[in-house]
Amino acid sequence: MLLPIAHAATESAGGIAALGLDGRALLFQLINFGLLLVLLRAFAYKPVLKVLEARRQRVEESLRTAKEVAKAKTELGRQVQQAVQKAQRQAQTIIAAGQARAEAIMKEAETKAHQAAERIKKQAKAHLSQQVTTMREELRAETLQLVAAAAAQILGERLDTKRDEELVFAAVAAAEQHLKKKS
Amino acid sequence: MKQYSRKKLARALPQVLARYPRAEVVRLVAQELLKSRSAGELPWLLRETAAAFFAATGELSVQITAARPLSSAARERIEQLLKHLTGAAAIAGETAIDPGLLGGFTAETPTLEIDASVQEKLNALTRYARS
Repeated sequence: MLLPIAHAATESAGGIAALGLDGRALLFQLINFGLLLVLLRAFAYKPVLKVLEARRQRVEESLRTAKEVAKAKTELGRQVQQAVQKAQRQAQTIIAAGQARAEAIMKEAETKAHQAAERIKKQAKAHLSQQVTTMREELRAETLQLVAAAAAQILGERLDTKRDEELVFAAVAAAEQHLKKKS
Repeated sequence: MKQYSRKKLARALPQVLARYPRAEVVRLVAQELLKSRSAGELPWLLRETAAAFFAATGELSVQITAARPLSSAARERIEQLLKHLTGAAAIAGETAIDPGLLGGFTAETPTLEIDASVQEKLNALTRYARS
């Protein structure tokens, strides 16, 4: 690429020299500049670009990481909120179940107490009835015993020989009647 | 001394009494009962003896008890009833008075007991009241 430029400079020496410029010096200047450009490109630009590229990649990585962190944070927040809501729902369910259980226990206890009271009442009634029956039977027995005692007293005083003999005849007649029926 | 069963002894007694003096037989029996400590069986022995006597002779010994003295007609009716009940040919026995009976009579034979007293009726009423 430099050869056509040098050739052009040689051909036009008469032209640019008239302007007060040294063509050869200009050529060397151009060659030096080209060399400097090649050297800079080879030893300075590439490392700088590489560093810049690495930095750009780090920045991009950081930004991506930051985005991911932000996204993760949002997701975590959402999950925490869901967990809290779930826990609240569970707590409400547990409380409701506990209340229902407590009500059931209270109702059962009430029913049992009612049944026990009814049973005791029934037993007391039966006991009372039994006592009344027993007392009635005792009263009846005592009355009959009193009647028997009174009858004995009265008969002992008032039964005379004639009536006693009538009793004897009646007893014999009753026995004979019984025997007739039997035969 | 040979041991006899009570039943055999009771069955043999009427024959023994017919052959030997009654007082002596009674004394010997009483002595034997006391010796064997069986005095409590005397009522049973008397009853069995009377039953054996009745079976052998057809004569029924009876103890009639009343609250008041019985007329001959009443006693006759009772004896007829006993003959009818037991099939006895004759009745021999005693009449006792027990005012505790209040009225009516009781008749006790070796095989039969009749209690037609007023006291028994009152006792039955009391038993019914207690049952």
